Order: sequence, then structure tokens, then C-alpha cells
Amino acid sequence: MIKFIKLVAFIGFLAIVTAGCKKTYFSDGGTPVDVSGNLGVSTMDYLQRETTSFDTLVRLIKLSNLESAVNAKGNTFLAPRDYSIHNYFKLLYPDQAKMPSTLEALPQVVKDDIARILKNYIIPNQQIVRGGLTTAYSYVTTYGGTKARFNIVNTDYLGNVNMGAKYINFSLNVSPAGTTEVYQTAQVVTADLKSTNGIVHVLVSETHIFGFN
Amino acid sequence: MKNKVIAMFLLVIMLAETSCKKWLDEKPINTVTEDQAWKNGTDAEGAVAAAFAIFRRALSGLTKEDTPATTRNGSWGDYYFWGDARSGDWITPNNDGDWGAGFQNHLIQRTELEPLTNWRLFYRTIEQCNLVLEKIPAITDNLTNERKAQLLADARFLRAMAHFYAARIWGDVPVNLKARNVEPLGRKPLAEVMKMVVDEVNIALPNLLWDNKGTIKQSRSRGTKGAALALKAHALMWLKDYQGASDAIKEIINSNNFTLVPVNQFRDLFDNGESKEVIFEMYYDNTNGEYADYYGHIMTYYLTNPYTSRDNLSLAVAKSKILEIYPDYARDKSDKRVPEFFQSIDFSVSSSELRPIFADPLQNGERNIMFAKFRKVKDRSYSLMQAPVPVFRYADVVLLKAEADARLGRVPDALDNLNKIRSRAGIPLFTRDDAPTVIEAVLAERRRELIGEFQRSYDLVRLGRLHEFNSYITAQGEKDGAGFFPVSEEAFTNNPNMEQTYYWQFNQ
Repeated sequence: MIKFIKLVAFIGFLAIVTAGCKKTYFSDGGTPVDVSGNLGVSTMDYLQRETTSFDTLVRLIKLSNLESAVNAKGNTFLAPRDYSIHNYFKLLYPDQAKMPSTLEALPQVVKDDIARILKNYIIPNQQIVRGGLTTAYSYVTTYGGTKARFNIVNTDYLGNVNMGAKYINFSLNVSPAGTTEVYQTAQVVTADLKSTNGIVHVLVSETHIFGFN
Repeated sequence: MKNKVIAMFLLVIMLAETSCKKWLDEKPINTVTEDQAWKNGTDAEGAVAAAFAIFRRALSGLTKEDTPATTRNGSWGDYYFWGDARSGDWITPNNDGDWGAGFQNHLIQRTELEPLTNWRLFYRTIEQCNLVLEKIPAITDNLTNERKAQLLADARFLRAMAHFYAARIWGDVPVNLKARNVEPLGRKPLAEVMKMVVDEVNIALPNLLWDNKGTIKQSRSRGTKGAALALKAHALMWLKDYQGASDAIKEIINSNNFTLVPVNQFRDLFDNGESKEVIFEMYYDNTNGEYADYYGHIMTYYLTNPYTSRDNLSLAVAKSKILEIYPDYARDKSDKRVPEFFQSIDFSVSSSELRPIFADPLQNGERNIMFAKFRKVKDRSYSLMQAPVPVFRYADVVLLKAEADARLGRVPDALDNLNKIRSRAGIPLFTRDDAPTVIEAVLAERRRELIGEFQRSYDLVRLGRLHEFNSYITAQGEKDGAGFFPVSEEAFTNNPNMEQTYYWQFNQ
């Protein structure tokens, strides 16, 4: 009899364990992991949709005729937010009154500079996701031809090693060609957004200024 | 078995009885009443040390025990930073709303900032000094007359210092020179307060020493002749008595007790406070329990890993501003102060490791350069206050004398002192000799030399020029008192004589 009870208990236990493992786990909001972060639209369409964060960025991309590069299949785009661009213009025109009233009215040198800068936020032909990165640097070349690198950092409030939030750092070589490489870093605050053509990472806006100034 | 239980029960009862019996007869040893507190030399020493401890706490910001339950925990060091916040030189890279409100002079609408406008701890310091000055004269036990005179002078100096600091923050402030005052005190005009400060310093000076016992840090975090003269000079500058200020600083210079240390000794000066350049500093000693329970030392807002465990920067100077303030560095990197005061660290390294420091101090760009004038070592935790905070130092008074001399038309003297500071920093000597230009040059040099040492805003307020550098303050607003903190609501309780600063009656 005791043997029988043990057997039943064992089978019941097995049933619970297997049933417990069966279901899909959900991340925040109840979206299954493999669906989470899927934008369902192209990178440009996503940026256009998020007007509160990216409307200036979208206008700059259009101004520089880089829509197709941003939307190219299988690329990675690092999206600077409008606040970063606002700070860029603040540096460019410390006297705000002297700033042209529309983006189209910007002098050609500034427009060229903006296009050059934008190209460094596009990593062509490579889909970079957090899962594929490590704490060691992985180097890439941007659409603008500049060397850049990614790495993962683990940061928790108390400074414990390998604990806490895991985020991506995107660093760009800001020194002129031929000199010692000097990297400036921007943290990725929203990672691994999957558009229909590639990957989008959103950059921190508080400390990062458009163009790595 | 039963017997054992009974025996055990009896034993417990017996123990309980005996242990309760005596304690009610004991005199409580930790409650000090007024008649016990002022008996001998040790009490006197302790009372003066306590006054300084209260003042240190007053300056580092209110702690939870000092503030109503609605405010956040901990001390911010805000009264210090008030001397820099509104200068227009600072940004908050992590967009901290409270610091932002401070920069923009929005002080009342943020309920969390309102308690900061409370001067309670300044007047608690003053009250402690008043008690010392009333009680110590009667103490004879274990206290020599010489030491008694020193302690009284020390307390008198601190009382003047607390009034002076409060007057720089709030403008017109009450003057309280009577122990256990219960009269509702009104505010006295700033000039009257500063005059009182000068008079009090003059009384204290003869009995103060050039150096107290102990290390420089211990000696110069208490009243000394140098500290009192520097206080007097600063107060006289507010009174526009430039001759008096210049003379007071001359005494400091002639004492040969202080030197301008070379730039490579700045770490001793700013990190350890053990330097011949220190005149008066606030020294927080963690071993004496002087720490902040959460928010930490003002300096932890400047620093990040590798100096503290803070992950991001809360207060910083933007790169464009650094290049504007230090034009010689912008031109040819000659100003040696820039790499001493600023650092860029590799933010791509996890904050759980020690982040490397870049060779180029300005590499991190516009919003991510660390203000690293004061550096703590990594093993100091985020919240522990263990670093000296400068109040007066030799370079400060040398430049103050240059300003005073220039205003008196003694341009060669002014240039001499100005150029001492410039040559130490490795920048070209200043040669133009018309007084207004020299005065401007001295002010710009004070801004460069004393950045982050809580002098800049007070310099600008003293000269009525805050509005030129802070776009949130208008010229008329400054005339109406926008350069000062509003008076806290608490000060109005049961006090019909209290009045709000004119500007703050209409501006929130």
C-alpha cells in the first residue's frame, strides 16, 4: 500500500514538474520573449511613429537622403534621441538667435557634417544584438567608414561583479584617421528592437550628444 | 524530573528578581543636564568641538533628523554647492531635477527643496557658541586661563563665521548674540551683519593661535588667526571696505604661515587637506561618526567610479564651458589646472570594475567630463563623508587682495598677486594695467582657480552681477534679492518680526 502511495506521489510530482516547464514564459506585459521587441515595421517607420523621441532625427535622415541606408536589409541602427540633437545644435549655435529657423536653411557645411555624423550610427550588413556581445570589445566599421566597437557591461548599484543590469555600450573612434584611436562611449538604453529590416538600439540622451561632441 | 523543573523555575525567578533590583538607583550617565555640563576643562573643550560639529552638519545640508518627514533622507551638501550652483557654470549630466531647480533658482515650488531654506542649524551653531561664551568664563577646574581665552576666541570666531555664511546665503539674517534667546528676532541688514562679523573677529583675534594642535587638517578646521583674518577680509569685501580687506590679508601673507603649493601638490591640498595652502576647511571625520546616511558628501555628486561607486555624474561642468573658462587651455593646453580639476573616464567599462582614466581630461565630450578637483579613493563608500571641504585657502585670499588693491587703484600690487596665481598655473602673466580690466581679470582668475570651491556665486552676488551669468535671474530680480535663498516657513512661526525677502514674496 505504502509503495502504491509513493508511486502515485511520484507520478503526480513528475506531472507537476513537466506541466510547470511546458508553458511559454512571459516577459513584461505578457508578450512572449521571441515576440517582444518585434516592431513589425521598418526602422524608418518605427522612428517616424515615435515622434516624441525621434522626429528631429527623422527630419535629419531625410535631409541627408539616408532613408535607404537606414532601412537597408540586415543592418543595425543606433538611434540618437531628439534631446541629443537639441544639444548638438546648442553647441553649434550657442546664440540660439543666430540659428537658422528651418533645418533646410542650415549652411551646406553643417548639412554635410550632419550626413557624415548620421552615417556613423548605421552599422551595415550586421545585426548586432545583446546576446551576441560580450564584455570584451567587438569591433565594427560604420556606414561612414569609421571604426566603432560594442561591449556589454554589467552594472549593479553596489558594484557587484557580474550582477545587475546588462547593457550595451556603443563607442566610436573619434580621433582623426592615422592617429591613436580614442573611443567615446554612449550607453544603449533600449536594446534589441527588431524592425522588419534590421535591429534598432536607442542611445542615452542625457549624456550623449549627436556626433559624439 | 519534576524536581528539576521546579528548581529551574525557581532559579529563573531568582535571577529575574535580582537583576531588576538595583538599576533604578543608578544615576543616568548619558543624560547631561545644564548644571552638570559646564564643570571642567573637558566639558569646555567638548562644548566648543560640538559647536563646530553642528556647523559642519549645517553646511553639509540637513539630515533626516533635521527635516520634516515629507523630505527625503540624508544630507546633500547643498549649502556648500549653493556657492556654485547658480553661477551658470554647472550642468547636471543625469538631469537631476533638484539640482536643475537650484541652477534655475526655483526654490520654493519644489517641496523637497523648501526645507533647505531653513537656517535652523546655523542658529543652533550660534546658540551653542552663545552658551560657550556665557558658561566657560566661570569654569576653573582643569582649565588654564590661557586655554580658556583660546576656547572663547574659537567660539567667538565660529559665531561670526556662522553669521557670515548665513548672510551670504540668505542676505539679511537675524543676529543672535545672547544665549537662550526667546525674543522673536527680525532680520538685520546684510551690512550690519557683516559689520558685526568684523567686530567679533577683532575681539577674537588676539587670543587665537596661528595653528592649533594636531595635523594641518585638525588644526585648520578650527578657529585660527589665519581663518579669522580671512573671514574678516571676506566680510570687509562685502562692506566695500577694500583697504581693511587688503590690510587683513596682508597680515596673513606676512605671517609666512601659508604658501601657494605647486600644482603637483594639489592632491595633498584637495584630497587630504594636509597642505600649507589651507587656511580654513571643514574636515569630516568618519571615525567620529560624521557621515551621511544615504545621499552622501557633496563631492560624491561630482565623482563617479573609480572614486566612488556612483555610476553616473550628477554635477559637472560642460566641455564648452571649461574651454570658455580656461581660454589658455583651449588655445595651447597650457593651464595646468585643467587636468588637475577635470578628468574623463572610460564609461565603456562596467562600474563594477575600476574604470580607467583617459589621458585627455576633456575626452568625454560636452556632458560627461568629471569634475575631479576633489578625489576620494575607491574604498570609501558612496555615503561616507571623509574629505576636507575648503572654506578659505591661500590662493583665495591672495586673489581677494588683488581685487581689493585693484579697486583701490594700486594696480602693481594687484598684478603682483594675480600673477602669482597665473604663473603657478603655467599661464602667461597678465600685463594690462588699467584698473577695470585688472578687476575683471582677477574675477576671471578667481573663477578658474576656485571653481567648485563654493566661492563663485557669492562673488557674483556680492558684486550684484549674478544676472550676467545666470539667464534665469534678471537684473531687477537680483536687486530684489533673487541672489539669496528665501526664508523658510518655519522661521515665521511665532515671529511677527520675520520678513520674507522681497523677491521671494512674488516669485516661487
